[in-house]
Amino acid sequence: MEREDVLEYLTEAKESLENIESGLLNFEKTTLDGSLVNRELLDTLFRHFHTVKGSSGFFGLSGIVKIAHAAENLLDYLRNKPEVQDEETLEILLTALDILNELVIHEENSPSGGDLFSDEQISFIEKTKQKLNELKNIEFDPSLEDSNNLSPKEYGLFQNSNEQIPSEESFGIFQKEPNMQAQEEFGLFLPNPNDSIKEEFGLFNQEEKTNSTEFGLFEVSQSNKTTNKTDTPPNSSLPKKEEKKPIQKKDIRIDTDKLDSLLDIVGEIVINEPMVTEHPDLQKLKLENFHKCAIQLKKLIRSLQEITLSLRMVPISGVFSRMERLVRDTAKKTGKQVELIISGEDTEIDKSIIEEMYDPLVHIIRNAIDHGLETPEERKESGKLPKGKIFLTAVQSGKEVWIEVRDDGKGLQREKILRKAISLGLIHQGEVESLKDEEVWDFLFHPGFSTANEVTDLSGRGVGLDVVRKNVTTLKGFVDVSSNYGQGTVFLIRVPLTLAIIEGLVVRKSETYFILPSIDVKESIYIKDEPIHELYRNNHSIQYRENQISIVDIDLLFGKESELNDQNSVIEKYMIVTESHEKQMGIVFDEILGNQSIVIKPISPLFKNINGLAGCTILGNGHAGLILDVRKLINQHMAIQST
Amino acid sequence: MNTSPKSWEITEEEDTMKDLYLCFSLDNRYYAFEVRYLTEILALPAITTIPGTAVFLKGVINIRGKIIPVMDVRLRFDMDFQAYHERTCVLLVELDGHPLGLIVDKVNDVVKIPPENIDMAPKIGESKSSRFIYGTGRVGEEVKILINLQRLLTQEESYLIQDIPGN
Repeated sequence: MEREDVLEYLTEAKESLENIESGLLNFEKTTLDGSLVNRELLDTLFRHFHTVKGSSGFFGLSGIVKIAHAAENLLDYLRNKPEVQDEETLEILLTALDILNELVIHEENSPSGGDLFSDEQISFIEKTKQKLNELKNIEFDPSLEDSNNLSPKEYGLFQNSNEQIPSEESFGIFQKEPNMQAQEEFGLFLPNPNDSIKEEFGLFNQEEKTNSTEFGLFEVSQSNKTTNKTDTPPNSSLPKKEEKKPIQKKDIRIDTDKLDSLLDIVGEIVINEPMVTEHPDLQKLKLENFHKCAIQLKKLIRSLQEITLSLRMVPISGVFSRMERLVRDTAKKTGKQVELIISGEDTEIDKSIIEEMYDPLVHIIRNAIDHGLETPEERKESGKLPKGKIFLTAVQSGKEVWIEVRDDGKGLQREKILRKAISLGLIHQGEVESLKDEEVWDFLFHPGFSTANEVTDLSGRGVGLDVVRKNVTTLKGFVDVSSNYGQGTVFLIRVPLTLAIIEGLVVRKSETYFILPSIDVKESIYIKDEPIHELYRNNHSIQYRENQISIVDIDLLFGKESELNDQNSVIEKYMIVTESHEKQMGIVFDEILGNQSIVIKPISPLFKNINGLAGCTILGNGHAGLILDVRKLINQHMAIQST
Repeated sequence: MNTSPKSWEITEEEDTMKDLYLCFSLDNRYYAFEVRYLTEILALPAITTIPGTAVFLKGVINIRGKIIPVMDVRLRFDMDFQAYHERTCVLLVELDGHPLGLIVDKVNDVVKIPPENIDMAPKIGESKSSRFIYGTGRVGEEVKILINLQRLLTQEESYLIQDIPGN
């Protein structure tokens, strides 16, 4: 039981760590653009680290406690001396976060009492201490008033050093030296004693404004001003986040097994409802009041179904916010300036899909920074702002969610991609002209297709967009790319809202019921006098519009001979035209029962090598229906034909 | 009955399950397996055949919203297929947490077979179907063939079950 408690806590801790991450990134954003450190943010960060430390201590996870304590110390100091904040402290805090994540995952996988397990982690604590001391030494200087205001209890150590150092280095000059350092490091911060005094009076806002005008000397300031303007979206998103908080607090963690069994039962109720209300025994009777009640019950059951299905839906914001860190780190590595603009993070998708979205998004965003965006210099040359933008957007569109990653970089180069495609033997020189842009961009999804000139840390290892497309396709989604040269590239991922439920066309073939996902169905046709051509045994084709398309009998799946061999049997049957990747195939059925929302259930793993089936479901008549995997069927069929 | 069972009740229940065997017959032979594996006995529901699988796996059935695979025990034992009739039953068993339906000709009764009445099967004739049988149990004048349910799925197959995530 105890282990379970620890595991439960660890999931909680992960949430706190996510908060810390977004806090730190926010902190970085607000400090890097030259404004002063936001005291409130520091307090929040401190509180988060403190919570992690406290709760981890309760569970005896000593490693987490140590790291969190070190970070907390640093933050506590910063809270009182926000002006000493520099890039290195931020880096240390981020490392602390990484180590904490490491420790949490380590503890989850192999319970080890949560102590530090690598030298890196141990040396980190030392590093933090050094940094803290360093900061303290820098900062004893001019504003003695400051240190006077500090509570002696908190800064006992610091006060000591304050006394010691002047006694060792009694020259006034030395005292200024740390000042100079501070100047170098911060650039924008003037270690002006007036500043710090003003700060104490809480005149922060004024301070910021005067700052930017005061430092007109710096070239950057111009672009700073402009970027400040563009910064407004993230700023305006701040109050939004605050609004969201109370909603999140109402969350409750539920075992997914429980949810699944609830879904099963509700599914059963939905199926059973017509069995009861439209029971054959009642058909001959006049039961007006009963029917009224039955209608009421039907309505209630519909809403019960809807609510149950929505239980698995979570906002995509979790995955989106994890991209902030990725963008930051990738931008650092590539030396590019990147701003990530997120919108639509409230859009809800099935939890299982959201988890699968992480890897594709990481890949696309990395690509966008590494290949899409230019360096600040290149951007200036082409008349753009040095800071590149990446828009990450989610929108719900019908039963799909569209996730878009748009950058304002250099865009895709048709020529370059074509050259690569020719060198890989995907097309011939002669075909080049006739290709539409979309067709050219689509080569990017070809395995082993990388336009990177060299292998870098980030990309060009051949693990490319093909994997992204594969991941998304398994979710029954699509990825497409479009681009305008010089203006940027857009990746659009479309995924269904949920995997548990699909819209499907229920059909019958002799005794067996099949479901064709509506998304794959193009048209259904009543075959009467259409001539069917037998190309060879078990392989037929039929005239569909202006094309000849393959027509197959699902009996082949069961190892039987195709009924289509006997022309007469086909008369008065239905053909469903299915489509996948613009390849079409007709499948013949005896009867079409209609469209229905289908709860997908996995087929028992006892059945090995099932080809062409995506799962099972239970139909209104109580039968188990088989969900056809149309894409697989078509691919298989095409593969057989071409051999 | 709605109170949670106390520890002594559990042991008592375990005692009541002990040495109990469910007997069913195929042709004129009597088979039995430990009752503790049994979840319930059902009349044969509509079976949906799954293409491209072993012959003895007849397909799937819907039991209160759960899709459960069913196995024809006759076919598993390499006997001839016999058309299903109104006495054909599905014995719902649970093996390592995975439900499985066993189609049998007829369910007979539940009998007590104390360990001293059980003889281990002689290890002769490694025929395909003999590996499902681990012994015989004497009940009065009759002899029941005791089945090792775990082996109904070959090792390879039960490995497959464990290997698939989410199962």
